[in-house]
Amino acid sequence: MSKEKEADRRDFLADGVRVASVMSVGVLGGFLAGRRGQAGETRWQIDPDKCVGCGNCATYCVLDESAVKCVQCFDMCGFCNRCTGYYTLDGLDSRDTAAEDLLCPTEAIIRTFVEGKAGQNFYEYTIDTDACIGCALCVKGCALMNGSLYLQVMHDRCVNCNECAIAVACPSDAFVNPSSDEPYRLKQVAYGVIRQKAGQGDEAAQTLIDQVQASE
Amino acid sequence: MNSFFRLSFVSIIVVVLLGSVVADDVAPDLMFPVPEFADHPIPTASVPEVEGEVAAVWDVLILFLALSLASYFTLVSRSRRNIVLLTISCLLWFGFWREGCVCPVGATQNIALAIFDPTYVVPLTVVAFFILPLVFTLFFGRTFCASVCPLGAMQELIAIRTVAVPRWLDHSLGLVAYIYLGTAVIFAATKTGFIVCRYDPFIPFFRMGGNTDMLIFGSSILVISVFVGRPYCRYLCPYGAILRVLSCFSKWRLSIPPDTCVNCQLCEDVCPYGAIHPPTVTQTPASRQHLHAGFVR
Repeated sequence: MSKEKEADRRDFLADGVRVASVMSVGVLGGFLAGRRGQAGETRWQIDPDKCVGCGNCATYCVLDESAVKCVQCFDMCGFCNRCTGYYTLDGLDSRDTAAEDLLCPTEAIIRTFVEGKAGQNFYEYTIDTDACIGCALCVKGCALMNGSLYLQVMHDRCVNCNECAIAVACPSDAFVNPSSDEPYRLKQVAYGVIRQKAGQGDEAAQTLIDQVQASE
Repeated sequence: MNSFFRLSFVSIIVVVLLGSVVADDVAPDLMFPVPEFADHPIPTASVPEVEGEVAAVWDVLILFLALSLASYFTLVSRSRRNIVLLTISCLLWFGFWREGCVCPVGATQNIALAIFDPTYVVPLTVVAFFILPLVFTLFFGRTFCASVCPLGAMQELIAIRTVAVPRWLDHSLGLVAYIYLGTAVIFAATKTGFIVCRYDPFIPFFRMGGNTDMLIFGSSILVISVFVGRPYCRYLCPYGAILRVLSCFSKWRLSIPPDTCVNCQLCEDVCPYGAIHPPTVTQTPASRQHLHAGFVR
């Protein structure tokens, strides 16, 4: 008789703790879900104005192929023939397309002739995103001139780790956490011209502006 | 005449100033200006949209399904074969396909950070991943550990030459998990780092790549788990430490009825994890004083 009574008490206590635990877990979930309403989820991104092009992005990403890729801001590009983002400093003189004269290790920069004007040839430099490894060699080269090439975390690839391995390794603290609605950044100087293009009905510019956090 | 010149001079200055203000707003100050081409508009590069939100919802559904199946196989159908099959499926899905992220073990840190830092917004998927196994444990025991967790599955499937760990050592090492849990919570809450993710043993294997620390740590755990069943789960896993406490209060669970047990100790010898203890002696009020067993079974 007394044994049964003991067992009952044991069950009662276990039941009580269980109910309390389920309730507190529910309260915790509700609390966190409620707090969520105050702000959106965030993603990792590189602030291109802080990036120094160290090359860590290519190697520190947990993905085999880094989620960081180069982006060309054509509205900042001089379309130069002697492009310091495309050629090595030696290659600038010869300007042939031999591998040792090109900065990009994966031939991810495509150079196409656009127009000859006033005795000068202008070339357009497009990034082949699938080939780009985010090594930032071109970003560093371009920084000698206009700085139109910049790195961005591509959000079709990024797995949005809790602790971005590149952000930990970043020497210039360039990683920021924009909301997942506007997960990209632009160089501050390019923001105005892209917005102006969007205002003139350029769809690509409008799409880009919608993905970029409004400049403060 | 003089005033006219002055007026025009001022207006020129105003125009120039206005022009420079407008130019500053729009055209970037560049070393080489962007050329204007006759028939080639300046393109705008596109960046890809955010992906992966849909997959996350599926993950929660699959987690719920896997937990339900695990509970059914453990408590109702009692099928070891099905449990192993479920273990392998979960290892393939959560481990190798989804590359071990998001997992409840790491989610503990996100929850800790979300509680202490109001500016951090925790994804709903992470909340679901943290809470679902807790609720299941409160009712069905640690079925998450048994066959859903990909980290457990890795160790479970290679535990082939297990040796018995002495009770005192097993118990002492088990306390390390609580210390690890506390450290992980402090590190996450203070935004110092996500140490559970940084020292996740099997992420490098799931992703087929990782840094040297992770690979050495993961390989050591793998080698040890051939001889000691589930070393990470028993002695380190911070989420396992939470579940260990909660499982004391679970509603339905496997137990060996002391009345019918003949004390042959076959199950005790064969359990690779040292989880089965010999039946306790009939308790008297005197022995209860020494807290041989608490109110939990």
